Amino acid sequence: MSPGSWILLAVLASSLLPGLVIFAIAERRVALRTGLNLLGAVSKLLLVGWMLWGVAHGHAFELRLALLPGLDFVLRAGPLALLFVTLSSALWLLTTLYAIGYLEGSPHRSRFFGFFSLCVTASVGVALAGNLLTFLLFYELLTLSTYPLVVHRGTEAARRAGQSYLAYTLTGGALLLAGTLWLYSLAGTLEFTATGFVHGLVDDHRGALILIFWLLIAGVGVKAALVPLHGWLPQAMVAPAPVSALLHAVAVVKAGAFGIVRIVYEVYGVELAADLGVALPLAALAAITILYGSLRALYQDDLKRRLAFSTVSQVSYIALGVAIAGPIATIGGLVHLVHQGLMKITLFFCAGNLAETVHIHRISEMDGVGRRMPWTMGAFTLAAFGMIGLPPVAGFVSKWYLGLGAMQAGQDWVVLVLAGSSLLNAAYFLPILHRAWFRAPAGNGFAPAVGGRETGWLLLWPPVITAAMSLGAGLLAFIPFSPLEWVQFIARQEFIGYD
Amino acid sequence: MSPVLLPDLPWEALLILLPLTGAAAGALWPPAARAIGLLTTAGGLLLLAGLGTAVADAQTLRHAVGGWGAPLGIELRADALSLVFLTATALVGLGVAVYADSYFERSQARGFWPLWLFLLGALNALFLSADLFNLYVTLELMGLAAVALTAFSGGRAALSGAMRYLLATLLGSLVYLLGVALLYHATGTLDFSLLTQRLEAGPAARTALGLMGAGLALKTALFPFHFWLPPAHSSAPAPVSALLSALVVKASFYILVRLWLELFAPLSGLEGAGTGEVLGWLGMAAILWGSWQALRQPRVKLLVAYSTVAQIGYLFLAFPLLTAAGLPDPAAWRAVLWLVLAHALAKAAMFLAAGNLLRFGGHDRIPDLDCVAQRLPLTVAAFALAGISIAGLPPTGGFIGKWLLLEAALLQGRWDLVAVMLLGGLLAAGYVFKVVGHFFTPAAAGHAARPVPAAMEWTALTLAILALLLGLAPAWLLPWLDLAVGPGPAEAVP
Amino acid sequence: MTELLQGIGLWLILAWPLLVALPDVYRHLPQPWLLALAPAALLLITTDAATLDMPWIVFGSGLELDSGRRWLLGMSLLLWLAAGRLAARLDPLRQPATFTLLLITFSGQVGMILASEPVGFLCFSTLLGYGFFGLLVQGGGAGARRAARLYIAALILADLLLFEALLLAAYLQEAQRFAGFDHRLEGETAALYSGLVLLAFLLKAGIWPLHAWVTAALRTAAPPARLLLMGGPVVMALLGLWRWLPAGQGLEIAGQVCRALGAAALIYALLQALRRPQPARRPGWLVLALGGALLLGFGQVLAAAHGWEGAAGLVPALLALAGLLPALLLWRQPATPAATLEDEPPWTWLARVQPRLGRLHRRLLDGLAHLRPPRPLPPVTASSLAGSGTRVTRWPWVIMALALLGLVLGLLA
Repeated sequence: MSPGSWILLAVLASSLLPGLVIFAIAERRVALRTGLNLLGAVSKLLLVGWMLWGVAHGHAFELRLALLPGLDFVLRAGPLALLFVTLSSALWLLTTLYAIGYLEGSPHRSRFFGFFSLCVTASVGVALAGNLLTFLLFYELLTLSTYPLVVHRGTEAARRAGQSYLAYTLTGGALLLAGTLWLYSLAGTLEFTATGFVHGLVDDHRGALILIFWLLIAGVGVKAALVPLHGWLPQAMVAPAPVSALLHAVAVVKAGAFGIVRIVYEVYGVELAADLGVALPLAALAAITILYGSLRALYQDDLKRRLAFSTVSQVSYIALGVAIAGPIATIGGLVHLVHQGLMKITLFFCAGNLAETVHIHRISEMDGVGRRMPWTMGAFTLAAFGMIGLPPVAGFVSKWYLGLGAMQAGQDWVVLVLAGSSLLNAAYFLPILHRAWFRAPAGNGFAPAVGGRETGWLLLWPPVITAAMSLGAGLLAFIPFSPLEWVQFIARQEFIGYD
Repeated sequence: MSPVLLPDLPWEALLILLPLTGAAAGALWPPAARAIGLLTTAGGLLLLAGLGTAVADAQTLRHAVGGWGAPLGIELRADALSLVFLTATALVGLGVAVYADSYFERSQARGFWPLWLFLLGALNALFLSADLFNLYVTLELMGLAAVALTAFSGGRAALSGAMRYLLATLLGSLVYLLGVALLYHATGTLDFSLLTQRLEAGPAARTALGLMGAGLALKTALFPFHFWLPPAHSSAPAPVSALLSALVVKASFYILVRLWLELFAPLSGLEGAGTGEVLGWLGMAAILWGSWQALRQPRVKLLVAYSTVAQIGYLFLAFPLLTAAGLPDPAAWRAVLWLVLAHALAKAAMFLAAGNLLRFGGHDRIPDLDCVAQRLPLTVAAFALAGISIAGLPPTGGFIGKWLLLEAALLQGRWDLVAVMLLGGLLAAGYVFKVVGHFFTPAAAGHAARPVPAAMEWTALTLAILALLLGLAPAWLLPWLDLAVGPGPAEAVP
Repeated sequence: MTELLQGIGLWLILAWPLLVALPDVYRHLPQPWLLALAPAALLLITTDAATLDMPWIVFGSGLELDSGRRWLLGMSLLLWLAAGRLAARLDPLRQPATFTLLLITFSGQVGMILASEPVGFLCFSTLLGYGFFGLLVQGGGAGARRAARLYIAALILADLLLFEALLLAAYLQEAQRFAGFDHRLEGETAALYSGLVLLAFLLKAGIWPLHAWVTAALRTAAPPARLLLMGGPVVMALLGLWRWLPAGQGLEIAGQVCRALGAAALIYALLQALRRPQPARRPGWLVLALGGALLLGFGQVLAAAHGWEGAAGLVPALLALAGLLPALLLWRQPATPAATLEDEPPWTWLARVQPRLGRLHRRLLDGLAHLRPPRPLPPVTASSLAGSGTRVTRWPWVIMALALLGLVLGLLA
């Protein structure tokens, strides 16, 4: 154990322990539960801040525990890991606040918040995993801890969504397990390294390496909702809004995308992936997913379903950036990991607010809702602009680096894909905005605001804050510790050939 | 350290005598049966700790009962392999005993305790026996006790299940005995160490292996001889089901492992690979068939029973895995022993949890299991955790076992085994979550709920948590298993 | 010290209107409209030239005020003051939203004027563009909404093209300042870059033949939007053309295209003005003609190898004038009757085809969905315990199977 490695355990424990305790708390002890939740979330954020500071100043945090002969349980906080950890823990705090407001008075809150905390623990574990085995452990744990959240409502639809979620993700997990084991039997190690650890095997096991690559990608691709493995995501939108936020922005989908980054960069290495001829098909798959997701989103009337298909499309930007295999494109992909999270969580918060406050679930019911809930719809507008990629919201920065990286890598077709996606994004987001702001409300209008506020504080502030963050991430892209700066730091640290 | 802390007692003999004495005492003096039963079971754990330290010092302990040595007298032997099975027995036994204490009413309990202690004694004796005939005797004793326990609750289903179980177990023992007789005729001894020296490859050895293997396969409920298991295990009272699934089927498997590892595999080497292949195929078929059937069952206990059929299949996957020299692959056997432990804990927890559900709702029909999660959160947690371990999902003992076995299979390029194991894991997740999915649906009105004592809930949960913790501790436990499976430490990676 | 003050001032004239645009702030200020515009006016009066470098904004942004920009800033102030007057006469229910949108567009406009590099320019153009879309929709009926739809389609397309052009430029050179925009564009890249920029800004400026939204908006939109149309989006797009396509860079072809289009637009506007001289249509023709004339001039400068220095001082003033002229005309006839739109824009067929395409796509999806049969859970058969008990009672078979297994195991051993 290197000095300071306890902090890695502490980061995990800061959500695990409150989660376990919350299971045991009686339903009616709201204050205690809320206090525990917030204590965990805030202390996690502080710990992560500490680690960020340390890593920025060249410290390395590593924790190594013997698990199996020759295979350790490894947690390591490098810049890449911290990108995801910071995203998860920051958004966790906000989502917890939001969930407290959203679920006020509804049953089974102890169960909900318990699994909520477990879920975040697992996603932080996925981020910190230092080898493929540890990654796999947390990846499966994430599947298991999210399932109760997906079926939380307990309706028949929720049960079916949960079944489909498990069918997809557990199959993905099995493929990942198969790939991991196969790789282990060939390489004898599973440790992530900056340039991959399978170079030595190319001469003897070329075919096997290609197969393993697709096994692994299929395994993480299920969570990253790559077409045709995306079927669970739109179904899972029956879950409550905080869960959707969690699935789409904080944990699940991101864990899949993050896995793709790890596999391409730190298992295979970019050069090897290009040499094996697997990078280009992956990029093509990502491009197809981007366009397909957007096309499907166009035809959804259910707001959350439209947002879900939008996620399918947007998350593949990350895969695309990674698969283009140039340093600048990777910056675009990685920074989108954060940017997409900020924007999508805003959108889902807003959708939740609409559902909770004025009982709107469909886009066709949204006429004129902007006047009833100006702050909510303001946040929604900002995030939607970001999704389209309008400057200076965060999405613009991602698209900029993706496009630039694609040109640099000589893959100009990606620019066209980006343009097409932007057009489609505009086509399915702008009508929503138009309805909300400029149409007159149908019938008697909406339920009036209580006490002059459009909705509860806990429901209103999280989306406003995340919207401000997504604006800030784009507007202040070059400020120290901004997502972009941090990703460039990652690129300098880990990817050779970028300065 | 053991000489200082613990006196040098004949741990093996005590492990057998204590439960048997307890059984006799409980039968003779029913009012004290409960106290005796609980104390004896707990005492077994202490004795096991003593035995463990002794084995850690000496690797293999031999104890001649009454001072009479191997060829004539009865000899007991304790090594790491028996210790693994004894540990599973002691842990599950304690959990089940605590559970049963709340489960049975006073009148029933008087009958239960002597039978249970008898079964415990027989199991311990079986795991400590060093010769084939002793193994037969203990196997028979265990079988009788198990059948009696199965029939314990009365009722038509239980009796018919028990009857079929009795016939199966007798038939299996008989066939096994035939093999033993053959071996005795050929070599003139039944002691393991002497047999190793004297046994030669030939028709007699082949026939003996065939008969013994078949008999034990029937008793272990290996596909296609599993027909007796689901009715027996699902109709018995919950604690008994747990014992049957977690321990009793493992006992005959233990004998098979002993025979295979110590007698036949060294004897025939690569030539005997075909036998291993057949067992492996049956194991694969068991995994797929058992899981598929489990997925189709409408009731929780039947589902769990079929899951046992599938899980037994995993244990047989190690037979076809051989080292380059044609000897059993230590890595694979280590994995199987791990699975034995993990399965014992998880399956016991699952049956106990199923028993809670049955008692709470008065039925165990899966689609009507609504509203349980809210009233029996601990039971639900136990069922889910145990199910996760059964499905081989991290971070549980089941995952580690599956990982080790998969690794061994992959290193030998056995893709068929790998595919079946992965598919079996998915099917297992399917049937576990088929049940778990119904825990979240809101309540239908008007349940005639019967309260479930806290002890019953907690024992199920404790066993499930043990199965979970098993997945966190392989670094400490694996060296023990390495001792159990082979001369040298198992090589993990080339 | 003064530099710092000027820097803050430059920031303030952009941020302050946005702050005031929040309805909650606006409602609580005395004379909010004048207050919102006051910093800009102050800066215009007190400062000749100022620069502000903001390295951590977007990709390193900057603001600059010089004599040329002061012309445009002055024009904007005048226009928005007038628009504010017009807005105050609107239906009180509509006023808050209109003021908010006006302030957003103001901030966008001023930002575009002051921006010293293309990304910042693009950022503020989003603000202006979408704000102006809001103004168009906010004002009127179906006609205005249709004009707004056309406008936003043009806007999205233009922004995309600009994005691609910027990518191209960034790929070719590091620094992205207008002042240092002197990379040698060569061959195909030059054609591609200038083509993208040209098409984008022509769309944004509504130059013939892409003018449909301009004329429609001038007839049907609410008074403030009509007033701002020329001085806002159109002039800013022409400004963009001037900023993004530097002369003396071998962009003669682009210059020729501009000249040709400008001339055509001018002629078209004149012909139309003769053909349909109704007062309601007059501002439209004026705007078209002015746009065409400016484009013609710009093409002239661009095509000439060294005509840049002489025109540089003149351009902002001309643009400012062009922005004010139609506004004057509209100010004098604010209450134009909403004329019907008898001339359809050339791409209405798209709107007719779109639902059909949508149906086709949906049918395709349905077909795909049918390919994958729905998988309900296998029905739970009523195989109760008693039933399964009777299933296997054939003991002889068991014994035979057992014997078989024994045989196999033994034979293989």
